[in-house]
Amino acid sequence: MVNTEYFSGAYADFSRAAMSGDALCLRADNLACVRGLRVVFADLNFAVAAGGILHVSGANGAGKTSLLRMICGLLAPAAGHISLSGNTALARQSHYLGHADGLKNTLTPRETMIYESRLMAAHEACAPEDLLAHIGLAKQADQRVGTLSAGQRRRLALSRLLAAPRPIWLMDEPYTALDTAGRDLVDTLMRCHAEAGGMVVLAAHEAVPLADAQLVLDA
Amino acid sequence: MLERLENLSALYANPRRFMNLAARVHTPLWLVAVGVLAFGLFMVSGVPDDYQQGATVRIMFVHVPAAWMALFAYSFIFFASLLAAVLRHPLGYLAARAAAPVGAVFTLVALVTGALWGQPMWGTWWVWDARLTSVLVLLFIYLGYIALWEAIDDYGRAARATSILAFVGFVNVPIVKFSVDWWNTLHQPASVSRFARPALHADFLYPLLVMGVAFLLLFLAITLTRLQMEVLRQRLRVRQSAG
Amino acid sequence: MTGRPIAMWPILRALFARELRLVLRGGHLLPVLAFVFICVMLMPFGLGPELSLLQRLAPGLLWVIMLMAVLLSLDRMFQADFEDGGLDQLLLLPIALEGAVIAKICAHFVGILLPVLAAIPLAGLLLNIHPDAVLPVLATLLAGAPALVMLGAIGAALAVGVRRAGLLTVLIVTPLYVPVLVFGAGGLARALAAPGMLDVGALGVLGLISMASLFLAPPAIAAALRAGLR
Repeated sequence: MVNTEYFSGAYADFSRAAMSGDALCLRADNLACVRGLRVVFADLNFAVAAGGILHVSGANGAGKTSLLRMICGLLAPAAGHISLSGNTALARQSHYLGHADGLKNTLTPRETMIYESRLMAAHEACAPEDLLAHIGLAKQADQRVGTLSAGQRRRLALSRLLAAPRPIWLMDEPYTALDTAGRDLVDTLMRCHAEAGGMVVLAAHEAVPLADAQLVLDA
Repeated sequence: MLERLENLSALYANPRRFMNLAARVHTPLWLVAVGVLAFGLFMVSGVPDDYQQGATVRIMFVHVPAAWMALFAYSFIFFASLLAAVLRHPLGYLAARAAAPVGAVFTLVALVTGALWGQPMWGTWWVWDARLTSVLVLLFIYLGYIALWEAIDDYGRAARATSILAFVGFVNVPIVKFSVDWWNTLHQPASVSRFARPALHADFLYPLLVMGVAFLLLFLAITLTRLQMEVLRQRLRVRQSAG
Repeated sequence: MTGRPIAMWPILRALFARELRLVLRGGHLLPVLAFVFICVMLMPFGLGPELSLLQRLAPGLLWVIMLMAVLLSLDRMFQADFEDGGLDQLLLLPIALEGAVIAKICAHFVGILLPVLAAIPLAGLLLNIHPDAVLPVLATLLAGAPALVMLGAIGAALAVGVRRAGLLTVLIVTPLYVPVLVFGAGGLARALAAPGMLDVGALGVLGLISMASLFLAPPAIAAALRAGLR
């Protein structure tokens, strides 16, 4: 279902970096999060190596979403820092898939994809036809996004991950609203991404067998 | 936990030194402010009636210092926000927040006394005079600033957003002044501004300066009290959220 | 990692194209146009239908109506992006947020304000505007419109995610609009008092305010949007 050639081609950079020994490594040191006047978490340390999938779990309000947003720079840490092999500006190294998907109701999936790849300045732009087929929206390619079902919308949001290769994928509850095939799609995408040298941090309440590390945030 | 929060929270430093200093300065500052104000009012009562304006000239001794304070308070907000942004110290945001309603009230006082003074002079309560109009715009700048503070629940976000507005407003104030002056000459060609100050000989100048100092001290005293309240309120909120 | 240089221009163009499409499909233009003509329709009811009076007031009225229309149109400029997570995605783009903001505002300008400007002569016709006044009205509006939209966007960005953001935007932005209105409508009044002559001074100041806001507003807007992130 997923074209794995995309990953082997577009991700050459990550794989090269991984093989040359100076593998990418996402590190968080003594990270702290304060929302309003509440300490959400503090002294958080973790590392994700190239090819790693980190599963973040914890009760509502434990700071899962805040952590993901912190990694890509949408939220400033109250203390500590996050770096990718020494680089601390990660906004352009990350794909962030949040609760709010950033999809525009009045565009069609095809237009959404075309704009996404242009906005991400993708050099090996994937043909939208192929991408639409990958995520199983070939039939809905030209209807308005506002008319899609929640699950179809979620699939379309996943396509952003493929708009341009970026080493860090941040996924907030990626399985929400998806059917079995959709969940498999998420897993396949994550596995391909990891195998090609990327890294994934996902927040989810359910068990994620694919993950090779788990981080439990306790409120 | 509480200590950790106080260390972590970017917007809650524990300004113990400031609070100690404020506690010591607070009462003397109020006493001096009230004293100077009383002295100023006494001096104003000794000012002879103006041969044109009669007793209404005395309104000027409230109007002009209030207008000075309206501008001074906005500059205060600007510099407090700037300091907070540069030094990353929250006391500046708190000071700006504390000063805003005080400045707005001084602006309102300037407007009302301007209208009171204008009524016998112009025969109407409101004239679109350049100075009054600029002060009216300044009042709306204050109201927008205060409304933005009130509208955002999260303290950190409110502090950042209002400081941006303070910077924008600070650039805007002289442009408004310039444009309204130009607009006024456009619609009142060649007439001397009827709101011109009377010749400032010593009889008028000294009471005016004393009243100016009194208003400045009053502004500082009220703002200090409000700032202490803001810090205490913040401290209370931290205690509550830490359980 | 992508070490290759990223060309900014195609990204800005793509963003502009997307935003323009969103503006056009979102049906944001029609309410603003309707607002302009509703204001025009209310004037004779409020002021009386006397044509000479309307003719005298028409240029200034059109300026005030245009200003209010711009204020009204700002409402959804950043709010939609804030609500649907589009703002997060703008921040992750390989361009500075300031650039993205400019592209969005340009789309707003082209998609909403230019059509409204094009409708202004028709609105003037209903107010019995003097034919010689149409061109100066359009010229001053065009010179002032960049300032109106840029300064307005500061207010819209500051009020993002706030209850009753529309009213707050009006309160924040109105003081910023005073100089624009003064030099726009004032320059216009002078030009009309001496027919055939445009007031170079006032128009110059108006253009200066527009230029200054083009350069100074985007950093303020971007900072306001960053401050509004949750």
